Amino acid sequence: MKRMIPFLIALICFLLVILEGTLTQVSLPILKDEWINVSHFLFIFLLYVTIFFEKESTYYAIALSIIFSMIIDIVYTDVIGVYVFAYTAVLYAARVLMKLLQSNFLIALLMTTVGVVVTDILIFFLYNIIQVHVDSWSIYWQNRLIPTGIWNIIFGLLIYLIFAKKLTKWSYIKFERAD
Amino acid sequence: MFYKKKRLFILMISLIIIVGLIGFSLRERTDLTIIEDFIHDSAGWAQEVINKPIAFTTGVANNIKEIRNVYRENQQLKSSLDEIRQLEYENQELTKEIDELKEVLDKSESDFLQNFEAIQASVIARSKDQWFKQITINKGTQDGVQPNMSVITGKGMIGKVQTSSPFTSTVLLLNGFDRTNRISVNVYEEDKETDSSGFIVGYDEESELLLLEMNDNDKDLEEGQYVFSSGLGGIFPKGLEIGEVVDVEADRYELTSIAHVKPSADLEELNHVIVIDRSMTTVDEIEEVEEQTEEDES
Repeated sequence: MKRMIPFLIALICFLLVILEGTLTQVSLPILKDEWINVSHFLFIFLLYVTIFFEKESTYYAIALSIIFSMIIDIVYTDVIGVYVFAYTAVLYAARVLMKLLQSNFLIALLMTTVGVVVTDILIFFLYNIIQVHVDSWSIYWQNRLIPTGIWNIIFGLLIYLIFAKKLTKWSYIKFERAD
Repeated sequence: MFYKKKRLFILMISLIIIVGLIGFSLRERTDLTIIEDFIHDSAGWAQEVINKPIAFTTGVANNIKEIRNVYRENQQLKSSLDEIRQLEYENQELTKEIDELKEVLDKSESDFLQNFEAIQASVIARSKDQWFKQITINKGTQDGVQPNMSVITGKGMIGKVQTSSPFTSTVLLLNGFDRTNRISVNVYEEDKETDSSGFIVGYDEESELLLLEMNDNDKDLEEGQYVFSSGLGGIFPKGLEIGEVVDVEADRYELTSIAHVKPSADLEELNHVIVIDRSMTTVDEIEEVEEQTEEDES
């Protein structure tokens, strides 16, 4: 069990990456046409791994982020490297911040909100630099940033309900229980 | 001290790697590396499995919505059936005539721009970042899908194959087209003998319409006319429906006319698509084959 835990987390990451693409294919009638909601489920899950699972000396979230955001880049986009950079950089910042903060529900919610917004803005600027899109800032934040933020916070709460307790438990089994 | 230096070192190295990767993948390329092929295929396999229950539920929901309109649609369809019978007869006669003429001319199937083979495929995912207008389909090079083939639905053209792995391919949708991948088209005008020609040069994000640039200043171009691929670009076969002209305006210097075209196919809701394999080989392809045989010989 102890050795299996990182692989279990990796499997969940893979499923979330797949789900991101499948859910984009489903169009929900409540959403307006010009709204763009981009799913950052992998990022949110790794954020919770950082908050609830990680110890000072381990780098699971960072390593998983590099592997699976590379898969996102290859499968869903033409450009390799943008998601890798955005996810990993923000996760590293979150890791540094978590040394000062406690892990509880409010902190998790706050980190999700700030993290998703910062990541998406970072992706916006990187894609703007390499000319993937030419949207202006005002169009971007109205049509993409706000819907993306709300969409991801809703799913963040869902992921929190399912995994927060489990991750804390897994962390205990992995690092503290002697057997 | 040493610890700080090491961290800075790792940071610099990873930045350089990322910039290198972005530069590498930004090039225009149709061939993927083996690693990318592998990731595409294994992700595609998982996507297909996960997609099934989700597609089933949305399908049921849509069916319930559609049942309400069934009666009205049925009446309309009955009335159009008679027209279709007439058309079918005409079509048969014309096909026979064309076949005879072909025999007289002594040309093979692959000499005609219209001819193609169809490969059926299902959509298994859409790019999660909507700045990339691409979808993934469940057929790859093993089924005969190659980069640059055109992709259609029953209603019209939706895009072209961007890259293909052994078992999956990504399709670039029409609304992601820019000047580097334009389509040579004909506009069908009823009272003229020849169609007028032009190019689809891009997509207007704000109005969600395709931009059509005509080759000359065409006065007869007006809204409601249909736009078809002309087969002259070397990639797409002739006669695929692309869309309908919505409005026409002159360009800045009044030398050519520019039209906005509404795509016939719904690019938002795609489930089943058809990949078109053009029968006629282009000059490039012939050269490629020759090069390969030369390499094999030497």
